[in-house]
Amino acid sequence: MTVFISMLRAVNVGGTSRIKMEPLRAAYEGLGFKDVRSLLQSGNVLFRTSLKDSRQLAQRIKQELERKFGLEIDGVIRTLPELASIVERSPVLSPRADPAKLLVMFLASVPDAQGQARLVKTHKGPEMLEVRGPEVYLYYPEGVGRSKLTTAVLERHLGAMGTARNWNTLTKLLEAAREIERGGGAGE
Amino acid sequence: MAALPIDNQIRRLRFEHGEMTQQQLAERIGVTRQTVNAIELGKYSPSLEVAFRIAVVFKVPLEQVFQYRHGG
Repeated sequence: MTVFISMLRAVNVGGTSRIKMEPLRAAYEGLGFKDVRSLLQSGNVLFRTSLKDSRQLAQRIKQELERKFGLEIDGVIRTLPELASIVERSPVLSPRADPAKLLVMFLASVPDAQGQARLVKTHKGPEMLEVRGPEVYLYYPEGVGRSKLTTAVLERHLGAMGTARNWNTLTKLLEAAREIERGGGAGE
Repeated sequence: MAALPIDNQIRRLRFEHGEMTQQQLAERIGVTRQTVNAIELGKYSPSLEVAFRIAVVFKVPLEQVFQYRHGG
């Protein structure tokens, strides 16, 4: 069985998609997934399944959430090995770098090169940005809050749906996914 | 987030290529200017793909852009 990490877009961040974690986990369990676990309130669900196809899984999750909550919630999905390699390849090396300002945006597809070129040409802000396959590594030296480089801007330029997590969340997700892999996934 | 045991010659290569700006290089390799700046300062470890793109822009082998400090 593979451990998957499902990251939902714009859940419990002031928009319309407000969901409690307990019914959210129940929805994933209803799909037959094992060792379902949620992390924080921002829509992170980990589970184990013998199914392999990430795209198909994302589709089934979206349908189930719509059926259960009446909300259209997009999300992306990665396997434990994928997440591990994403975290391993952290690009930011400065010892003073703030992990809350280092983000990875997970995209539903690999962005087109033209959009990427347009983005780096027009964006004049202080952020570092590098696209690596279906992920974007971002560092916001002045913080995420007031940055113009929002998820919506990135999605528009890159032509792909995505959701971002900061480094603190990513390391917690990776730790939780490894616990499930080791067989300790019964807890909260 | 330790220091990188890798030196780079990007700043020199930019000057040797008609004083190419960080912004110009950034656009050629598909990252933001701040990313180029951080790479030059050794504060950012680019992907292998971006490293090769830099070498292609300057038409030099990769090891003329980045040098690994052995045993350092």
